[in-house]
Amino acid sequence: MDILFDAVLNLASLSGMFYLLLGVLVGLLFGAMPGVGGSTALAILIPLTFGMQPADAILLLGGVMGANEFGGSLTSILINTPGTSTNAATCLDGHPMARQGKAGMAIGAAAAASTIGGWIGIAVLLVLLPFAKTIILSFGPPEFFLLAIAGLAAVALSTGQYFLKGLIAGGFGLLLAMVGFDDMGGGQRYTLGIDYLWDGISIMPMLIGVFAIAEMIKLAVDGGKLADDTDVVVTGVMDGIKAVFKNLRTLVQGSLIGTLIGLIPGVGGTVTAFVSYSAAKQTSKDPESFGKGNIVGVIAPEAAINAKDGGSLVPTLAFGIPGGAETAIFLGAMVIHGLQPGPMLLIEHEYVIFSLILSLSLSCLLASLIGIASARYLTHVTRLDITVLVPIVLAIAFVGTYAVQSSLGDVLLALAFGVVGYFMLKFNFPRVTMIIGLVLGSLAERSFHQSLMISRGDYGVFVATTISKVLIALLILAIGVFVYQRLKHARRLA
Amino acid sequence: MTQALKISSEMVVSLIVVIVAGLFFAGAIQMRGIGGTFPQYVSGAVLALALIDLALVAAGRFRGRPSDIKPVRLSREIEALAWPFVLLALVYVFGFYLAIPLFLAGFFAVKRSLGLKASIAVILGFSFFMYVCFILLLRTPLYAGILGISF
Repeated sequence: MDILFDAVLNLASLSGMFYLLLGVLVGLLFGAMPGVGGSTALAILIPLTFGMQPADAILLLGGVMGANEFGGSLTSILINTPGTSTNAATCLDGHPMARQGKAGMAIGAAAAASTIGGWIGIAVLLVLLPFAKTIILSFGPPEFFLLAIAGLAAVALSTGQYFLKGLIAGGFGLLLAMVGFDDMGGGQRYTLGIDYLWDGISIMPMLIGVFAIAEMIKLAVDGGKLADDTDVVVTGVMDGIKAVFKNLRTLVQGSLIGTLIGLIPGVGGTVTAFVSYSAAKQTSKDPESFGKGNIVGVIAPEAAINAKDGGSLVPTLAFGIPGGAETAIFLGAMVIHGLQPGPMLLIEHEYVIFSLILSLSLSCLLASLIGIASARYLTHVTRLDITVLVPIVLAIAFVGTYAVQSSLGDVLLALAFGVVGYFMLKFNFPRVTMIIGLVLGSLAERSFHQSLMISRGDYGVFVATTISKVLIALLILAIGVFVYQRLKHARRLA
Repeated sequence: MTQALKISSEMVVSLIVVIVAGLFFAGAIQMRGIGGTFPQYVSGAVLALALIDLALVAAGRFRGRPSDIKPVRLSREIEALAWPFVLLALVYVFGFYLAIPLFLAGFFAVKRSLGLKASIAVILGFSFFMYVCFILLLRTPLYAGILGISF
């Protein structure tokens, strides 16, 4: 309880509120930029947090995470251009409402649904974390090893038809985690005789390269403007907020769908939003009105999108398995602040966890309030010419990468990963699995060796306990179901 | 048939992935002792997966399956990939303080994205942001380049 109180005090301080507000503003701005999104915002912001206290850094990053999706919802409704693919479902009914002159109502509904949805997700997170803590304490090295591998496979599975490429990218992530001096066996691994690589591959240059630089290269290739917008009028916001309370069932249903899907590592917001939208349509008395400006079609995806954040933080915080790109970047930020992601985080750094939960809770509300007030102006960021955005973000990415360790080698590494990330984007290799591989690499290898030491080289240790058996069974079941579905799909196409 | 057998960019990338995975595997089997065990398992698995991926891509190509990869726009891609390298070269020679204004000015001039006044405003604004953020707030001395240009 004292820890929670300390976290509240930090949030209520002037600096705490400043960082949270800054995070919300950056999140809204980047969320509104199609093709840029929260991952890029987080990647270029992390170096700027280097000199901060970890709790302040988490408030800033939590602000971005809580706000960026609502930024994307605003452009979805007003100009039919989702900031990220997550917001695509909101376009279906949000933009028809805007064309009917009900833009304010749609924004009000989206604001209220996303705020309440976010809170429901966080409430579920608070309920589940103590249970997760109990589970973690019963885990030994073999279970942690299996958990890391199962987490990586789950994220790869969630990439659907790119499952194989996801696994390959995840495998490369694990291999990259092995670069450097080997603490366990002594000697160097994969350093190619380069002194810089003795310390291993830092997560920061990789994150900035794979997300920020790669996205900028892609935008530079695509060219043009982010999107074309038109002048918009925002009125009737209160009617939209009231509509959310009149459709409580949709709100709760969407929030629960979002939270539950969020619990599965890697299943992104896009799936969450469309599942919630479909569920609302199927259970509606008037399904024909969906897609033509039905406000329920805005409430359902918006509630799910923000609720998903709470759910996805359960595997992230409890087991160190990121739920998606943003949580993977967030775990990277923890590393540069000296917090090792993984099972012990929940036990040893509760203060950090509470700071994140508080910042997410408040950022949902702040994003909605600021978003409503600034919606008209926020859509103008989509007019920004790519040739202005690209050099500025590249410059920030370079300076930011250098600032973390004052190393030009980091900048070179970020650039190399930028090029790799661009080709991964182009050829459908999921970038998030590579990041997760790098994050989980040391945990997986350490647990692997510890397990074999305990068992004196007997590989049976990995199937010795009930938890191990359950994890392996779940993994086999998930892969089996996936392969069956893909084969069925292929046969149908043939 | 000729179309089907023509090597696609997707196949080239899959082949590169196989080669990189092979290099990791070759590196792993040269590792001695306990430190080599895990890399050997992982790189072996990655190599196997990469080979399967290559086989699937080749099979898809042979059957004439449409690819969802955007066609290569070589000149655009080379240009887009060159800009970050230009920035790196400028940083290496002139350091961050001079390289970034030069890069922004060069980019805006080549792309003709902003007028002169707007370009100067953005460059000055960004330089001010960089100075306040990194020098005043974070107290991070930025790389001065091989010419040693600093403030």
